[in-house]
Amino acid sequence: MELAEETCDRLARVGPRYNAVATVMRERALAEAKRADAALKRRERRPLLGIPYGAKDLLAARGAPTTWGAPPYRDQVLDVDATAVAKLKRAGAVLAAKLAMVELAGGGGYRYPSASLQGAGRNPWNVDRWSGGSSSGSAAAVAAGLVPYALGSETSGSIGTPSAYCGVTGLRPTYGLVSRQGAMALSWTLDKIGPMARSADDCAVVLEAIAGPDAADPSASGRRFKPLGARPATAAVKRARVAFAEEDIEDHASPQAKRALERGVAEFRRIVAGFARATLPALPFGALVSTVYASEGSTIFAELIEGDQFEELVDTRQKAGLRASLDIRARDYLQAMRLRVTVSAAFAEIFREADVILSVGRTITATALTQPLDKPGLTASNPHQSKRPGNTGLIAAGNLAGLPAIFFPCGFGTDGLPVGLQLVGPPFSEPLLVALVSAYQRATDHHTKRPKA
Amino acid sequence: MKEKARKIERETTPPQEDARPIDDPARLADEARATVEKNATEIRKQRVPIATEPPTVYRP
Repeated sequence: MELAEETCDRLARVGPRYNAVATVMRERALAEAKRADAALKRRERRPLLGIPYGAKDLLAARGAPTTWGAPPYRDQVLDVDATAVAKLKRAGAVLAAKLAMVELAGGGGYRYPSASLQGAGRNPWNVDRWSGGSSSGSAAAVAAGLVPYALGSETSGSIGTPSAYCGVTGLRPTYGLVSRQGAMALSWTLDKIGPMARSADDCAVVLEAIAGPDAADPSASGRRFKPLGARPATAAVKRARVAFAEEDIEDHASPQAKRALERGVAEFRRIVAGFARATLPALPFGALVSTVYASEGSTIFAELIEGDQFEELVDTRQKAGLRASLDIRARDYLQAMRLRVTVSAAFAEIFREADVILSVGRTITATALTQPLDKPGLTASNPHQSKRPGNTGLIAAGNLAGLPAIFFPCGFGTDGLPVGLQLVGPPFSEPLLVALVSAYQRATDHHTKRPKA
Repeated sequence: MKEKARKIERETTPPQEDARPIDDPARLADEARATVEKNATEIRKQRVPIATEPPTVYRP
């Protein structure tokens, strides 16, 4: 009970500093904490029993509005728990808050960090910088120590970017590993729900609780997640083969991020010896992924787009993007879906020689709150054309192929902001991804660093 | 001769900067439509050999 009370107090007191919180759920948190206390008295021992967390406000949860970060839905109450939330409840976890997000998960392509009902997500490492999006509040709340873990979601980059910018560990599961019942749909074929926490081990505990079958989500694979035991994990790390392209850093990292990213890769090389060069083929990953989610997202939100409340959305560019996306031709959507087979085949080719692909989380540190996000060079999926592309399209490509990824901090840029790396593996390779980052985090202390309160 | 000179001039003149403010809704609408078209052009450039193509589009 004390932990839940203290967490709710901190979320209410400190959360607004980062625009991280949509709703503090004190009543629900205390009720769940009371049940957890009773279970602890009965000597029940479960890893998440009584541990508070926050959920991105794209997930339905009883006891709070579900706003999807968007003004037209500010009063929306969905009297159900999303499956991921229900599974955490069954694991004894305590839902303390709904966390802020970019409106409608940014599906129309937003220009400013302010594109959220809660205002611009502020980075706990520097409140004049962005926390990243669209899982802005989830990353900021974990980084600031308001909650030990949070649920986020990714369509293309929405766990990865905020994890990299805020210096937390984020796990994007394989498409279908975690049920999306009760989650706002932006893209039926791309959306994933995943944990964001301080370490890979913490992510694994949460993922184990939320993964698995769900009759209410036909896209759920039915697969479960179980982390490797200590001995198999050590063996897997020892024999792992890592694909890496040095130009991801050499050609693309910002001057602020470059050294820390290089050091991070050097540290990773000390954990895993088997490095080999491999790059994705030159495909228009950015155009593909945005055609898919813009088509699906604009169809999902067509009634809103064509209705009276559409103008209430915050970001003018996002509104323009959603309107224009209604006119994407079936021909182009289907061509994009068709080319996802090619993208999957390209990954399969790499995974014949390597177990995982290592790359940067983001090539830059968190941007200023006032900086337009659509300036060239800032988008994760559109590397600068004149440079060697390397694997900088990995976020878009990995999402197109439904692959799991883990994002983890590897130090700080010269501007004092976190930078991180990512690992991508074949479908359902989460146990290996966790084992590798867990080994890295046992050998380093980047993930233990905290911003000043 | 004159026509040729005009043609060369047209070809060498860089595209005009949009004079509207960057957050002007009409400008953003034009840019969003242009982005959809640019993406479509990039996607259509990718050829898929139909004789060997798997018998389905991507199924997640």
